[in-house]
Amino acid sequence: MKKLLGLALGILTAIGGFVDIGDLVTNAVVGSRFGLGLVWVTLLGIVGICLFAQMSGRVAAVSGRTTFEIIRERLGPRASASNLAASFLINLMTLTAEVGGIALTLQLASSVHYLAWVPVAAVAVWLVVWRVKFKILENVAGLLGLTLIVFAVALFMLNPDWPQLAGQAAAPTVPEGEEPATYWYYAVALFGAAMTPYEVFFFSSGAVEEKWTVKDLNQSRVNVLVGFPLGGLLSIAIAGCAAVVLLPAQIGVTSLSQVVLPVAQAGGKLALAFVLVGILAATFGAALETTLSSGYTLAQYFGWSWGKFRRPVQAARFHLTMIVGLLIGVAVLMTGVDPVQVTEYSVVFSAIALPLTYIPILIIANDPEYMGERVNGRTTNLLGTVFLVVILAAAVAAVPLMIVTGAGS
Amino acid sequence: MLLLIAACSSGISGPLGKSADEASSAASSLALALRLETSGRATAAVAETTAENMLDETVKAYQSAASQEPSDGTELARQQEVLQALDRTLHSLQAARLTLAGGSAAEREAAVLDLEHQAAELSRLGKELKP
Repeated sequence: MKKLLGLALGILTAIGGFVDIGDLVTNAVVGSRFGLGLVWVTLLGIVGICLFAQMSGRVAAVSGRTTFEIIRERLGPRASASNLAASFLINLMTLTAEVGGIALTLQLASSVHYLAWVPVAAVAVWLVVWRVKFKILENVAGLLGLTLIVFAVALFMLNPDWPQLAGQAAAPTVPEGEEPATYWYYAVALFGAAMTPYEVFFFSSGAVEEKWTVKDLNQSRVNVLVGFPLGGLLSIAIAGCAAVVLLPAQIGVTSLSQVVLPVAQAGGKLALAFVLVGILAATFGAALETTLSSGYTLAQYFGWSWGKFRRPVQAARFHLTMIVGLLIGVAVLMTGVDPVQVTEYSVVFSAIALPLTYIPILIIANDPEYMGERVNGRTTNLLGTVFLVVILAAAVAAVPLMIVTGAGS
Repeated sequence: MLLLIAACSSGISGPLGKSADEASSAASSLALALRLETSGRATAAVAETTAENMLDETVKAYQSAASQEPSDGTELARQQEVLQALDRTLHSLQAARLTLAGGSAAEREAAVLDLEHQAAELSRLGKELKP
């Protein structure tokens, strides 16, 4: 019974923890401009993140090593330094976006300007990272994030033209007034939003934090293979709500306040309360994960003592890195830069940096010396190779598409 | 490379059309938020935040349109037309925002209709200016 409860909790946490500010904003932007014409990218991203998380979790459980320890060992300190720099900077960008997301949500709840909430959000994130146990912070944020199911409920309550939505998803076209390059730019952004690298740093480091062994692999596989796809359905529901309400009204999403309007239209203030709690939990949970990931990546590369399972005094540099990361995020936001724009750029840069972490994990998961009998099977390898091609294509196309489309505008 | 050249060579029609579209979207957004708040489906905080965000968006669109440098009389006339429409929209957004602070139901309904009218006007301009 205890095992079943643990399994259910793991799945629910994976569902609630799947969506972050990148998913929220990108799916709403895409839904408001292309309807469900990019759902295929979300589905592709879900398969990709399941594959990537499952491989990195397996590598961590079998070898006891995390993503960045492996990258440094395989590439050597010099070559992996550029890898570290790119991953760390993109993680910082995502952390900034998540803290901005918390502040924007608090503005929606209070009408107090988001800049007043930025320091409050950062202090709250730091306090939780400092004081709360790993398991509790992971589960509470994930479970509260489940209230985002209200997007799916809202989609049904809006009583959409289902055949039309299905048609958009099944036969994607570039709508009138949009350029094909913009369509592909958002395809890359959506892919980056679904496969954000910090999720993998967090997942593989979490496996070490929670002292996973090969005995835990089945549970982790179920969490990933059931939880992430169900979480991905929430992303599709967000795009669906925007497609039903905002697209016909020619409203292109540029702010978080527009993302919640379809939910309010469908379910009134109660639904609005649920969605605000859900967005707050999703952004707060992701802010915790990115804050921890900034400490994980640097500490694992330099071989510092790290982990929530150690007392802060035993992992001082790990904790200091997280504090500095949060301070940088706050400083960037206090310049007045739009958090939604930071989010949009962070998902595209995530797609650009993805091969840097994906390739080493794919190589190690194929190495019988490391993995023994837990090495990738034939199907996983085939999928892994297909995704390698997709990830490389997205990374190569991202910058030219960004220039040509003026970052999707 | 061809795509890059094409992206850089559409004159000021493209940027002006983009500004018109962005402001149209902002006006429609606030109209929707105001309707939802008036019917009790959205909170005042959500409507106020939407108003603030949409004013910011429209100011950015105005600045972008004003920064374009027309190369002939036709482009200058087009720019003035867009700037005037954006100016009217900024007034409508500001008026709608004020109704949130204590306007009557009739005033809010009038503000919504005005925003919808401005959004339609800007959408038409945006379509005309598409290169």
